[in-house]
Amino acid sequence: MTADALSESPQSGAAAFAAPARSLAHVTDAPLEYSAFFRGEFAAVLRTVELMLRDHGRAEELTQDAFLQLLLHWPKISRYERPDAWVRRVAIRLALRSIRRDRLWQLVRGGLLPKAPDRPSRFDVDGAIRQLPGSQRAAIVLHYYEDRPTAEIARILGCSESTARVHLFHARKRLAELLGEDDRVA
Amino acid sequence: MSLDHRLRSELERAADSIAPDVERNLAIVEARARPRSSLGASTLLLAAAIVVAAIIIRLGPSLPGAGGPNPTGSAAPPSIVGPSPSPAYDAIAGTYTVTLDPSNTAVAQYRLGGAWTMRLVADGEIFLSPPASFGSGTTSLSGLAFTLAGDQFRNNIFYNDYCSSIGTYTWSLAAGQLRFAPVGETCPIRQTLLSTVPWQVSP
Repeated sequence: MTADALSESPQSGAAAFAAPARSLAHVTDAPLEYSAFFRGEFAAVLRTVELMLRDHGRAEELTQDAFLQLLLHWPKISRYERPDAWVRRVAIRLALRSIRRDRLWQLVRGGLLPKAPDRPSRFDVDGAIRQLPGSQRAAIVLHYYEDRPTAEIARILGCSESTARVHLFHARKRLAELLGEDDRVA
Repeated sequence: MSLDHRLRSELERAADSIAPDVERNLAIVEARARPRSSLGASTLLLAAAIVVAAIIIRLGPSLPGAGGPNPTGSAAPPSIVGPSPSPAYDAIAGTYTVTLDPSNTAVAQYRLGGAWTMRLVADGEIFLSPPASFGSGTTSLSGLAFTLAGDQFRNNIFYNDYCSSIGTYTWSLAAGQLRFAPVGETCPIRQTLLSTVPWQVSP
């Protein structure tokens, strides 16, 4: 995934994290601004990704991948109004891709090898959320954990607002079935 | 409790339990960024090593101590891998072998029996050669990598093939043996490969 594939229009004069005017291609140590940004944002992005994946090791790896992309494109992305939104979107899309790939592999390789035992559930809805397709998982986490409106969920997932609403509707319906709950909105 | 309330509170509780070591992750990301910047130098060094190996093979009989062509052995000196991220990478870099006993239940279950060779390169690459009986006779598995953080060894062996996660192990190298102990592993086939018996340093 390239920086351009997920780019936002830079906002002139609104850089939240000013970057030095030099290319990162020859830099082996991250600039101080990047390190400060990383320390402020990494944990929050990791939490969202891990809530989607339910796999700490993989969530950490994918979140690192997103922040690595950010580091490699830091001079450009740091000029965006919301570099935090950029890296979060990259991480979530990497997680979505990973979930889709896993589900595909499960279909292709079903029965070939014994299934790895699931990690012990840390909370009641864990297994239920695992049953959802990637986009629905993302919609649930973004809506219920990050409190994001559907317009923003749509932007992060790269779909229309109505599609995001459908993801949320189906996810909620399925979770209600799995958890034996009434799915009427409170 | 309504479904909405339950989802919110359960997700918040789960998120609260996630407490990453941010400094360790920052160090890993920085280390992963380095090989890209040194790719040119590494490639040149690799090309130079291949040329030197070819010359040694060609002049083999006339050089003292060169008992015959051995491109596999001579093409893998530590000097071809470029700058290492840390001394720990240099320490673990090398070639290791293990022979897994097919009569072991887990080994048999995953069809891992036979002799495996694993080369760990100081830039984080893994070259893994399975026995002919594994899979469909694959001679080597590609795209593998590892990172070190303290005494932890994280790797993506079998990722996407038989594993859906990255494996984390502690590692120790002593008396010619490389030992792995799982600390964060959900993939039994990788755990069986890495930690059933110690890996032997290959001369």
